[in-house]
Amino acid sequence: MLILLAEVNRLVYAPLLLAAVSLVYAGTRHEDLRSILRHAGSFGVWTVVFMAAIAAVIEVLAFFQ
Amino acid sequence: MTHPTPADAIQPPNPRTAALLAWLVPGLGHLYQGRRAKGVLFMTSIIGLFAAGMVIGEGKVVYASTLPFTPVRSYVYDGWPFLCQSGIGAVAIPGWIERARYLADEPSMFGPTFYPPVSADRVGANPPVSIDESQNRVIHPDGAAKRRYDLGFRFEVGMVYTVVAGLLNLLVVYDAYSGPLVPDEKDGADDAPDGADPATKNGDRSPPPD
Repeated sequence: MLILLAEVNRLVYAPLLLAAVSLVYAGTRHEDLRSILRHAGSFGVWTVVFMAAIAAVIEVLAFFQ
Repeated sequence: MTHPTPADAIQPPNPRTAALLAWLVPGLGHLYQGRRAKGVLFMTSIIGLFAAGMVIGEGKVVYASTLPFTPVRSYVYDGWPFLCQSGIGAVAIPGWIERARYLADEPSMFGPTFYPPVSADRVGANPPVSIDESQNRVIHPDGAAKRRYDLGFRFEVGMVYTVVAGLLNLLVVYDAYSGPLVPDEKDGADDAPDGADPATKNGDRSPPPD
């Protein structure tokens, strides 16, 4: 956990990357702007959840190391 | 009056020209096709991400490898970031020009931004030097190593931003050429009035300018 806290400042670089990837990915799958934004929102949320899950698994593995 | 089929609805006009423009400048191909909303979206997202990477990396994260193209494996290992960044033509063209000028011992044409850092074989008696926090001199084997040392984590972030921007633009080029990757029949079709092209209704599919 201490390692994660030490790395929090680096996470400030993540939102812009996440927003750009989500919008462009969704934009290449829909033509309607509302559909794009809806897809981008759900894609962004799931990306954050996925990354958080991976971080949690790593933390658990580190605990048993 | 017949309804447009989904296949018709995703057929973008002038796909080759639009794809070329989309490669040159993200979103420009869509603007050319009259797909204004997506053009602005792509332009803002990708150029914004790329510009942010350049700012974070102080304009030192985009340069072509000066190694010879063969063996391919060595070139790709050294120059893969620029190959990814070349997904944006406005980056690739000056980058390749600056690489050629560097190899010909000519000065930069576009400023220091795209000019490759000095390679190890040209360092000679004046290797790149940094001063660390204890005021000690740190001698680097080449210019790329100095850039990485001076910028630290910001070099990686700037590199990732610009690499991802280049790769994302490949998706945009494909979209300009052949429409959305996974056509969604619900896109606009439910909202369009009888006989109207749903994309035209959204203002996304007007004919290109002459």
